[in-house]
Amino acid sequence: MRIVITGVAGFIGSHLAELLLGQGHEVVGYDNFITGSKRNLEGVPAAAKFQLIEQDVCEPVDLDGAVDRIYHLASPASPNAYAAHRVATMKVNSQGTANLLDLATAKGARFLLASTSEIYGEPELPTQREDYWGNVNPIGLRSVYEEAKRFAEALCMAYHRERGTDTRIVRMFNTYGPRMGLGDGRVLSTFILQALKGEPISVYGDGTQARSFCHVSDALSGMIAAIEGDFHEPINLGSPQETTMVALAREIIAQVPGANSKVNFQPAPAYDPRFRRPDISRARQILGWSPKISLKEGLPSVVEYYRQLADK
Amino acid sequence: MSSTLKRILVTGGAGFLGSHLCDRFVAEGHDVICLDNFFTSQKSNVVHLLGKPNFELIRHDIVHPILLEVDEIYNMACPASPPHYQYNPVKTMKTSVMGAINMLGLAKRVRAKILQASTSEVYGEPKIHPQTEDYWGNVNPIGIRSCYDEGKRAAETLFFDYYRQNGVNIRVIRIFNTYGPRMHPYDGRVVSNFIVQAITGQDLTIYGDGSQTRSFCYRDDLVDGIVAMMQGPDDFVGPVNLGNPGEFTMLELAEKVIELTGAKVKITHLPRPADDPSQRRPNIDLAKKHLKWEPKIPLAEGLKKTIEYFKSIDLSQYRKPTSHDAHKNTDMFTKKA
Repeated sequence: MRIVITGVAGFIGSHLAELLLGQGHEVVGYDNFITGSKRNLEGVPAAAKFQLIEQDVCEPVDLDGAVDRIYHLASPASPNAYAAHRVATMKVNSQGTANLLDLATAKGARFLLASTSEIYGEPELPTQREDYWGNVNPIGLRSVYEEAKRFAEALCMAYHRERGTDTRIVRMFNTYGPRMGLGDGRVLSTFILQALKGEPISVYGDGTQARSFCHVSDALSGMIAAIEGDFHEPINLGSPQETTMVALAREIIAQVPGANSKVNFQPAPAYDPRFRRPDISRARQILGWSPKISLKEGLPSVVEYYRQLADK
Repeated sequence: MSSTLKRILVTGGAGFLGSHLCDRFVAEGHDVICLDNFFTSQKSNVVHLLGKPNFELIRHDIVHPILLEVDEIYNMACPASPPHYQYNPVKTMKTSVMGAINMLGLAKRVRAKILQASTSEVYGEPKIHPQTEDYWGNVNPIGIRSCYDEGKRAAETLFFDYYRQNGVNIRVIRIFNTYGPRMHPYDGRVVSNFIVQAITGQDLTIYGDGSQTRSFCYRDDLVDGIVAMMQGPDDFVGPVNLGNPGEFTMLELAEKVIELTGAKVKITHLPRPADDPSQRRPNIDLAKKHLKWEPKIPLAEGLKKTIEYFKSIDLSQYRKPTSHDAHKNTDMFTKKA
């Protein structure tokens, strides 16, 4: 198949490109490199089957030839990234999504939107099902990503209803793996960096707050299952397995050889601890998908990746 | 010439509310640019202004950028009634968001003050009643109304991003149900539905049992509120609810329309459409406090004027919304044969 991936130089996009190329598909990747990185594509062979187009997909996406699948992953996705690129975040999810949906409509291709658990905002329920409408402040400081992604989902449904476009929506929860951004400010990368440097690992509050983490290879298999399935409404992709911050810190210390970091408890910030745990019954029932890789099994690949980065 | 005269851009200026803003500003002597693509609005709403030296009509779609020198922008453009936006959800979404990006970009460039006509629809199916501006809403992101609700929410987000990041002088209003002369007779709104049915001798249709409530604000009150917000203090940017808190059930409204038109018709019931909010009523304390504004015109008086208007127009000149296909040809690609 000939497959388009937008945001191909991002964390998840680059893994998806490698996987699909490895399966023998042809990949056309788009990235404008505002948050993506060329380094992420080092593992992608400069094969005849891979074409990289350096372009902002907010500009018309004019691609010759057949297209079978479109994975739309382009968007700043970490709080630091979308805070720095607010209007660009809204644009890529609105104009960018519309351009890719136009391409999908024209080519008769299947289209998958990588949406996010952030569309649930500050959920009132500890576990989120897809039919939960969310609790989002439309004009807050973090709204731009949440509302941009909700808009992108609504646009998918509008194209699907009005123009018969063959759309899919997945809501990605916390995903981790090699190539996740260093400066993202996410807890997992922060802990690993502290352990590698031999610094104490900062845990806020009593550390019993829990988060769930899904390994990127599980996320990829979920995305592929979704696009190859025929369900048009959103599907949660994430791990329902929760880990407390203390357990995560201890696990990372155990996995970093020679690390003598201690857990350093800090006062809880005024920051809202949001519930984020997917109910994945829809993915299980419709796609036959569930995450396979435990945190213990998945962590070494990230530790190794950050170690190599530090060596460079 | 007085220095208080301004160049004012009204997008959606030929629409129901936009055309009344144009009327007012032209009468006050301002230079008015009315921008409209006539996707859902009528040229007849502004035909009486054509030829005035301080009025200019431009046919333009705000999905595409436009460069104009103006002091104030009233961004009113968007298909706003369910039959219109549900026939053209993609177009509606592009108008909300690309339109907002283009108009905010213009406001930033020429340092214009810009007002966004948002909507009570951002509250979705509210869980609190009446709605205050700090309520985050309860919107189904993938429902059939989401093209409008999420489009308008995303536009608000953009306004506040431009305000915080670029210092653009913004105002955001959330308009609740408004009625009055120049409503489109086939916009599917309950007031126009009932009046058109009554004056053409048809039974009035109520969706569901008629117990769902709505508040109705007469257009003169609303236009006063819009202008008060634009002229209000720069540190009061909104969002502010503008609407009439007086609440009526669909059944009460139907009975009032039958009474005022004197029509010999009955009331019939049809199933309720998906995602139809059961109650929607503004809390207008903020507008009262900061703008000294509140609606004055009682429902019976507003309805009488609206009924007179609908009786005065030739209904055969108006079409029910149909599935517009023209815009599809302007898309970058055409469907594979």
